[in-house]
Order: sequence, then C-alpha cells, then structure tokens
Amino acid sequence: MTSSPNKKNAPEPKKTLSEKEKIKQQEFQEEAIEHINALYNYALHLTMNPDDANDLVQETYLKAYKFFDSFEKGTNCKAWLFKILKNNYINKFRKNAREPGKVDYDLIKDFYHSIKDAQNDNEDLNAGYFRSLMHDEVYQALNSLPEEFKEVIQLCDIEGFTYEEIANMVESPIGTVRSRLYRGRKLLRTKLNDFAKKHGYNTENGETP
Amino acid sequence: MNCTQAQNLMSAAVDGELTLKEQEGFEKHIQTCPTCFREFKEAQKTKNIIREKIIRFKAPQSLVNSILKLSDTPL
Repeated sequence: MTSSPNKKNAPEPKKTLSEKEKIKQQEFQEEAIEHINALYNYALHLTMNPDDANDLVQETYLKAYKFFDSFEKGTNCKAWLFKILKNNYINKFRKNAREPGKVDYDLIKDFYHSIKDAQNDNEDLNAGYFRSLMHDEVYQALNSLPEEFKEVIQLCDIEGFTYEEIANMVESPIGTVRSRLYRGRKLLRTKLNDFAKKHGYNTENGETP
Repeated sequence: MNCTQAQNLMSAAVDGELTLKEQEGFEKHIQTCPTCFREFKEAQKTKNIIREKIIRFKAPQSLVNSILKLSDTPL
C-alpha cells in the first residue's frame, strides 16, 4: 500500500464513532456492563452450558446495545437486560430443551465441577464475588424444581428483583409470582431439610427438632 | 386474618413486599398462629439458604472484553 499523507478528501480508513454514538456508548457502558456477571449466571442456570451461556450473554448485549435508545432511563437496567436474555433464550434454546421438571443430576454435577474448576484459577477475590461456597445439594435442590418455580426463586432470591419486575419478566400477574414463590419455597424446603439440619440452619428461635 | 389469607401473603411477607396494612394483619396473625409462624420462619430460612449458598460465577474475561468491544464498534 502506498502512503499518501496529502490526500485530502479520502474517506476515513475506519469507521469512527459519531458524537451521538459516543454518548450512547458511554451510557451503555455505565448502565449495562456492570450487570454482566448477573447475566452470565442467569444464562448458566438456563442453559447449563458455559458455551451457550457465553453466546446468550453476547447476543443479549448486542441486542441491548442496538435497542439501547428504547431503554427508559431511571428504570432498572438489570431487569431490562434479563428480559432480553430470557426472550433470547426462549427463541434460541427452549424449543429443543429438555422437558421442564426433568433433571439430569449427572449433568448438573458435571457442569458444576467443570465450571468451578475452570474458574478457580482466576477468581478475583477483590470483587467479593465468590463470597459464598456453593453446595451441590442446594444447587441440585433448586434445579430439581419445576421450571416456573425455579425461575421466580432465582429472580427473587438470587438476583433480588422486585415482584413487579419479576411479573414483567415472566409475563404473569404479581399474584402469580407470589403464589409461585410460596409454593416453590415450600417444595424447596422439603428438599433442603436435610441440608439445613446438617449445616445448622435449623437453630432459629422456636425451632426445636 | 385467617390462615389461608396469611398463606397468600407468606412469600410477600418474606420478601418485604407487603403493604403496611397487609403487614400489620399478617404480623397479628402469626403472633397467634404457631403453624403460620413456623411456616413463615421456614420460608425465610429457605430464602436465606438459596441466597447464601448458591455460588456466583464471574463472567469470563474474554466475554467481558468482547462486550466492551461491541459497544466500541459503530453499528
């Protein structure tokens, strides 16, 4: 290639960001990127596969960036991103997904160990992200719940969304979210009972075994 | 408030999603109903176990990088 420094009207060799685009990019990075770990975890729970989770998160961000103008500022960006991810997941995976409620425990175990091993080396302790150890039993108990219960428990207890946000995400009335949480926790409780006793969670006031 | 009404509010009570009025009624009920009181405590415990014991993975750095790059590229 010959260099021609004096060429005046030559088009720019690479597309650069317009001012508007730059602002959008900055806002997007401030609002959306911080939720990447939460989205990745949610994607892992849904797909049970790190590669699929990767793809799903990437596609979610691609879509989110494309439609970032439609994001209402001041509303919960994390909830908005979760909704996009969920829709993406349904379109992409659910058609071929295993039947809800059917759980392959070996798959869960393999998945858990493979991802734990893969991530052990580069844990960022400063991020405080690995503050708690996961117990197989808890993960398996949660995963063994029917999909509709598992989903609301994840969104509520793990991700901390409000009922209104969850209702919007799962496209059901708040009353349904309430009752799914109630029934889901009840189911989960029986599964966790042994675990709770073993790990000393049964010691609250009024609890005498 | 009877037990059925209290059960309907149980999850919302655990999650702090009750209105003030509901909260008052619910608290009054569980003070006098050991069954609902126990159930409420159990539900709280279940939530805490899930919150504390499910490990959170960090998104791989390669994924983070590709997302950052994504918003660097004009669409």
